[in-house]
Amino acid sequence: MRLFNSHKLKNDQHGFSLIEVLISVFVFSMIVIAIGGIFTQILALQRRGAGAQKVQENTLFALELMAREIRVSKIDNQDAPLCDRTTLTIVHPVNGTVIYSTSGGLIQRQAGGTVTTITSADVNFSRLNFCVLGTTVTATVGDQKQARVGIIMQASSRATRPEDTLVFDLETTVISRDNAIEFSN
Amino acid sequence: MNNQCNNRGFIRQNRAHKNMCFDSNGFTLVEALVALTILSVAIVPAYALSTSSVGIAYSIRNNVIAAGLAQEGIEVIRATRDSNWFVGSAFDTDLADGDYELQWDSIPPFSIYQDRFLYRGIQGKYRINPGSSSVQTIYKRKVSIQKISSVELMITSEILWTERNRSRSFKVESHLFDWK
Repeated sequence: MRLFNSHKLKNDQHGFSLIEVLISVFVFSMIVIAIGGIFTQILALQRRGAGAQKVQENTLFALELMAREIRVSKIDNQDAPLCDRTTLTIVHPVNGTVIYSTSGGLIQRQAGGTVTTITSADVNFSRLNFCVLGTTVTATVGDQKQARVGIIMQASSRATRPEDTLVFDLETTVISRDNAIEFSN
Repeated sequence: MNNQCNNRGFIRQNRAHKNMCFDSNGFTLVEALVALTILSVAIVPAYALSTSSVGIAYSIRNNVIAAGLAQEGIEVIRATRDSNWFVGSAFDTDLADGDYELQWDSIPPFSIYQDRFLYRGIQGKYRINPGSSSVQTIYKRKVSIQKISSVELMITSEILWTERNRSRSFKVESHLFDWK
């Protein structure tokens, strides 16, 4: 009763009313929901960014490895002007016959009978195609064209949610520096 | 009078404040502004972070693709230089100064650069002309040849694209010599 009286009289010392508390809790929760939404959005974007980075590392590594070997290798009778070749066989001066292909979304390199997977399980290579021109040779005669190999890749990160993945459609072309047959003509 | 003030809700307090009870004050304008400022200072970096991370994944992808396409431009010119040797021609035959557009299997004469987008067609192959089931990409590729001396060509391959309303480019340069 005393409390009630003092409440009534000394107006400037009262606390928040129920409605005020409810409204402020409501406003606060709206703000928290908004911030929480932004935060989860940032997390999803961060996952996608990290996935893109993995794809970048793996595609650049695979392309670089292939390019270095193709540049010094003999590539004979592999022509595929329509880019439908999914396995590339080259003869490297040091490593011998090297074969590139994919299996289960991973790029594999076979050299000296040993198959090595050169990309990470985090990245799915849904396409590895080779476009090849200028590799027609007989024992002594070349086709008077420099061998060129186009490498086409489609890669994405393996994520549980499809919206976290980003598809990379890559293409590059590498030419051989091996001129022995052509210059011997 | 006090009673009235106490029973009034939060929302109507402003009016109450004005008319009757000076002590049962709500927030002042300044207080509200300060609170809003603090809130926006907290939210703006979070938002900036989120928008910049939208861009990161895409710019990684676009850069990786552009790097491959740029390299391809250089290699095609190099293949032409080598093929010129094989048939006994001068190393710079069909490689006159100018800007060209090309694709992986291009052979001379190359078509003149027309500021066109590349297309991606069957087998994921990038091409200069639209074909069956091809889609337009965001990339343009300009391959420039400049003869520096009688034994040296400078080749630049530039990939141009637009990313989030900003134009981006990736450029590589290579020098080809007549060393045979």
